[in-house]
Amino acid sequence: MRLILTLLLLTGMPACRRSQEAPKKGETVVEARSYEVTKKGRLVLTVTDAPGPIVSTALRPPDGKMVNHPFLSASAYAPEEEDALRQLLEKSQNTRDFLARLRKAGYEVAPR
Amino acid sequence: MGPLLPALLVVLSPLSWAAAPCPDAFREEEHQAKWEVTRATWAVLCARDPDPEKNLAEVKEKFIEACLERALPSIQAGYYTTERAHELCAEGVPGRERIYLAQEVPRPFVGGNASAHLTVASDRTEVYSRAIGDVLRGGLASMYGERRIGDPGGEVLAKAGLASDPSKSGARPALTPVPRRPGLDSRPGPPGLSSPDVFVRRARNIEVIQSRVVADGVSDQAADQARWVVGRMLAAADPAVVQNLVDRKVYSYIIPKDKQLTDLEPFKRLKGTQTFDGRVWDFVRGVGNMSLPEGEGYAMAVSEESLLEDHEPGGGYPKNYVFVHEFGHMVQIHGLPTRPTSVPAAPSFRERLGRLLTGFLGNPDQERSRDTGLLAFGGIQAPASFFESFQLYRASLKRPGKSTLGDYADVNVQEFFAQLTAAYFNVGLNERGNGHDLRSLIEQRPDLAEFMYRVYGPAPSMGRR
Repeated sequence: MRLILTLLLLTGMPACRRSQEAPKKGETVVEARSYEVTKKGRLVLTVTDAPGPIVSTALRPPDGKMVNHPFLSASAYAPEEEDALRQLLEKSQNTRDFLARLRKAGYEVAPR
Repeated sequence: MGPLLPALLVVLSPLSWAAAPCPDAFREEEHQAKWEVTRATWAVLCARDPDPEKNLAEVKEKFIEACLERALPSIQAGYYTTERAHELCAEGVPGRERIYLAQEVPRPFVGGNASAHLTVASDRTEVYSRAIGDVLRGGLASMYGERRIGDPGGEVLAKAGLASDPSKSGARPALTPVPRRPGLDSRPGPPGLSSPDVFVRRARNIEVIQSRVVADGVSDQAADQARWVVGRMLAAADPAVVQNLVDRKVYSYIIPKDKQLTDLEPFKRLKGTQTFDGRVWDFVRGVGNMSLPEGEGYAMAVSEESLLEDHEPGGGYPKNYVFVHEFGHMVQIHGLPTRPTSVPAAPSFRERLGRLLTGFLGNPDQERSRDTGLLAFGGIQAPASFFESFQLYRASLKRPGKSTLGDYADVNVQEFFAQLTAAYFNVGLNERGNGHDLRSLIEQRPDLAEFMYRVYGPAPSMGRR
């Protein structure tokens, strides 16, 4: 029984892996990719590759409105890094570009 | 014959139960709901001993033992005699819940639905927590001097008039002398909350955190208010969380009415720069988790006016909200352990499993192994952790109404926790219906209220001061 289960797992795993690698033609990607950005081990930003709010550590304005970004959503976690992160974002064309700029500026970027 | 058949079945049912093989004798309503033994644990017990009655007797014994241990603060404080506590524990989970409902001290870290307890606690512990706040503000020396060892919180309750008037504290029985049960009194109490030493240490730590409220150029009223809010938030909190806040050197800065955030020393380096969403830092009136130079800790800041009045009426935040929200960030980031930690009696799952297996295979340490196994499978939870807050956040996002704490709470796990904290302390609900008050939180999201309870203990309302 154990042998059968092991064989099933071994034969099933590559198929599962393949299905996670790239969506087939016509398939829609349900979940956007998210990334964690750290500096010296400290989490400074989380980024999701889908339009949405960008969030500061600063108290949000009393009107409750959040700023939406056209190609990503992100939350900052370190006040002292926010200005630099914002400047990098302003120069970026898309999420991939932003992540590349972050890496170049010395931040570590890892998928969540 | 027809009417006799059900009666015959009833008469025969104990016999058939006794005759059933041990694993089949498991009944959810009896074994799991009443004695908190899962089917898996039951199977393990059956593998060791096929007699279901004997196993059930052992399960009951272990449950009662654990229940009494958990009831120790109440027994020590004189809310129950040991005999009465024993009677209640022998009723299983319902009896144990009755003990928790009557406890004035925070409930220890035990799983299950605490919404009923919280409903009572939110009404009743208001007085208790206010008394703690008063003691803290009035200076701790008197508390240390007068407090009786073995009576955690007793003096505080007495100050609140609870000790002498049971009608003010619901169903708590009158104080009676406590006959000691041999063997029980020498044991340590539940983790975290029962020991008088822990109670005193937590109070001292709160004093340290209050002393780290930096209020230069701020009115005495606002400075007092900030320290009062800190005392109130932490008065019944998990002592480990309070200790972590001290160790991580968390500071709370108050921005004077006539100053900017960037006039304060730790925030000067933000002068002229912008937030991630494009605002100028100088004009921001609240921020959490600014790192200070290496080894010096972390700082949050809130405005003086946010502690004094409902600023910007019609569109602003309720009084105390900003402080509670930002301090909530500090509690989550610096106070909570990163990962779940084990309670002393519950080692890791792998270890428990290993002990169980070696236990029923005849290890000399069998009794102890089985004991820890039962406790671990019996629903005892570890103290709250950052990881758990993350799990709750992720699970909330999958619900139709998401967290129900408002859009802001849904943007990331840190705002989720801070908004949840504000709801728990009754300062989160504003005129736009954004968030919850404590009552609606308990009613609509008892899971989140239970989590807050394990972080902060019973919640005092802060809306009225």
